[in-house]
Amino acid sequence: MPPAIIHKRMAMKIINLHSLCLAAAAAWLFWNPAAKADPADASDPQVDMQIDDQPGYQPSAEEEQLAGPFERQIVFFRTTEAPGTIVVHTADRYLYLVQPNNRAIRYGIGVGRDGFQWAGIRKIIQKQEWPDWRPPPEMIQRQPYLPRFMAGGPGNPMGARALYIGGTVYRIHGTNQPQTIGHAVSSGCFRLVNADVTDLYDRVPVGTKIVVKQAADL
Amino acid sequence: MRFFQKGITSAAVFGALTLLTSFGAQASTLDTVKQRGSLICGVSNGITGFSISDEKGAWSGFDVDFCRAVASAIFGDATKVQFVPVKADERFAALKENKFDLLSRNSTWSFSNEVEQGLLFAGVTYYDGQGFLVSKKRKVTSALELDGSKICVKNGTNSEANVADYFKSNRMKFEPIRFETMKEIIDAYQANKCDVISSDVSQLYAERLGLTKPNENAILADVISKEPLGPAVRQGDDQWLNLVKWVNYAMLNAEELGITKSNVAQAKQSQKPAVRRLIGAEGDIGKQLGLSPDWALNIIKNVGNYGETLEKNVGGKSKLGIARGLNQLWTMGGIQYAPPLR
Amino acid sequence: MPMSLPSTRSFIIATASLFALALAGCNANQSIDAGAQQGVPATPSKIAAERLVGRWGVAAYHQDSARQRTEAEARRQCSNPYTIKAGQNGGVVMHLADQSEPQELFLKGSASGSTYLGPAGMAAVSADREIVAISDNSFTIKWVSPDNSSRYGTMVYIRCP
Repeated sequence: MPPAIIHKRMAMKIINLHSLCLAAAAAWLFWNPAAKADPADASDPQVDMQIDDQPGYQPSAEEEQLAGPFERQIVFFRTTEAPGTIVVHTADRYLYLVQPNNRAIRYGIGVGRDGFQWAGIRKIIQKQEWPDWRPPPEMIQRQPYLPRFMAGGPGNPMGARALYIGGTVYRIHGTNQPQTIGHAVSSGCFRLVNADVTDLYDRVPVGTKIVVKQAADL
Repeated sequence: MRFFQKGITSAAVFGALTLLTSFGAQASTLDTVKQRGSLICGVSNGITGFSISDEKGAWSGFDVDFCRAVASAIFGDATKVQFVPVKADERFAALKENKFDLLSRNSTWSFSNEVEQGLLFAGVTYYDGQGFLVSKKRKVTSALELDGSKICVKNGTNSEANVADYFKSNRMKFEPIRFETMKEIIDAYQANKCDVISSDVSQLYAERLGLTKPNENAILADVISKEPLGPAVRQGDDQWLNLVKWVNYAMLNAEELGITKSNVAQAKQSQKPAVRRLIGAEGDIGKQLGLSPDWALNIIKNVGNYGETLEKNVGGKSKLGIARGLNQLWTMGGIQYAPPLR
Repeated sequence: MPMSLPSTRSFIIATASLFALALAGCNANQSIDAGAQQGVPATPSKIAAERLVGRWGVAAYHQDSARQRTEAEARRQCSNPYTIKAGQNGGVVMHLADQSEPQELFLKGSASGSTYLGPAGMAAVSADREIVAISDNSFTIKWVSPDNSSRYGTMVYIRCP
């Protein structure tokens, strides 16, 4: 499927749903350095880090090097899912790539508000290096001067790679804000630091099964 | 024959009565604790993340929080607990001598620690096990790649034997480098006298913090021995054993049901029967433990669910940063599986 | 009345420049926001405002390697174009960065030969864009403020048929 068609389909869904990854990521063009916190976030118990997107910001190598639990590592992981499957635990902020012998490669993730709204089993349907970004139509309506297309690259909040989750508007993507890893943030879906999303991108083919697990709710 | 049988029965009844009387004379642990107004918990002093007291005497750690959970279940108050530090080689005797009501001091549930010591373990709060610490520069992802390594181990422990078994069964060779203390091991490792350290995984994480460059060293996912750690109680008080056991299970079930410290206040509005039962909005399972209906609610409110307590003390939210591994819930890739509260 | 337009514009620019200078005088001892550009005196623009009037497909990029792709994308965006109208005072009606309402902006020349687009007054101030390339059917702008530039990138406008 050509990207343009996928985009159109996604744009349609953006209109239908209230808050989505792409729309939320799109908010970066509105980023106003003077206004640090989105008042809507203050009442959102899911968001534990009040931070606006910082388009154009290019983190240093030190910042991108995660330390401690969110650093990419091989961990013990029991699952009935076959090796090669992606398993996301949003509550713990980890993404696992299942390996043989009760192992998984574990990546630290930041979970956007939209990442919390969905759980299920899908497939990766498309992969994109340095994903471009297109503001959804209703956003252009509000801010007519926005570019209708923004080429991907360093500093792009969508990061170095994107893995599109089929049948949804959700995606696994990179970030230019490594400090958001391990947190719930207002925008995006499942974000990894660029080195990690690149590592994952190189390991998983289109067609990879992805299982997203939420914590139980009351 | 018949008379004889009757005789045996009478004798058995008489014996049982005598036992009951003798137990009745000795107050149950729960009654003692309630009368005293506080729980006394035997803990270690100096195991980072598990039980440690600061210069002001404030206690923290995973084992410490378990004591607070028991206090919360009994009194609705996590502060009604006294901590008694006890050495490893004195801990079981001290428990039997009534020095404390509960031993929560990362003790391994093994045959000798339970049957030979004449104690009972109330469950497994933490699955530990022996693992390996190795420099990331070696790009090792599995212990099976450690063939021919020089491995630092503590003398006089099971560590060397465990490593020997593991290497032998995988047809690999290693050279043990033995030291008396962990400090000597760390120094030797940093001086490249050995290229691997083998010890319990929780200890490896703690020791890694003391390395010059902690982040340049990894703890492998392989675990080669079983070290199930849990709280222990004296034999002969089933009510107390059950209480301690179900405090642990309540915390595990709370995590599984999504009940957390921050949302427990709203849990009463939940429509899920399992949630309502746990927090005492429906039924009264607390009564059968000798506790109030909100016993489990108080644990979650004051201490947190299992995952929260673990993450805070030894996991991702602590400086140790231990991967949950086996201690993840059974639904999430681990083996922590609590019987249901119903 | 076409002859009166340049003089009106010059008047506005001159007045605004004086006002800006007066303000600068007041603030001489205060530190200046690192992000703010003081600008340079504006000279008459070599580019006529009329050249920007019309309907444009708009796309943006950050890296030169993405320029060609961006131009092609801009061309495809004519289904949702950005419309620039002529202003009443010889400028063009456009949005400043992060402003929801459009206003009249002016083309301002500079001693270096660069052309800026922004509010009347000094040239090359923070709110300005620099017109880095222009042809009959396209123009390219870069934002003067590094912050705007990093967020919005280099913007390419392609004239819609």
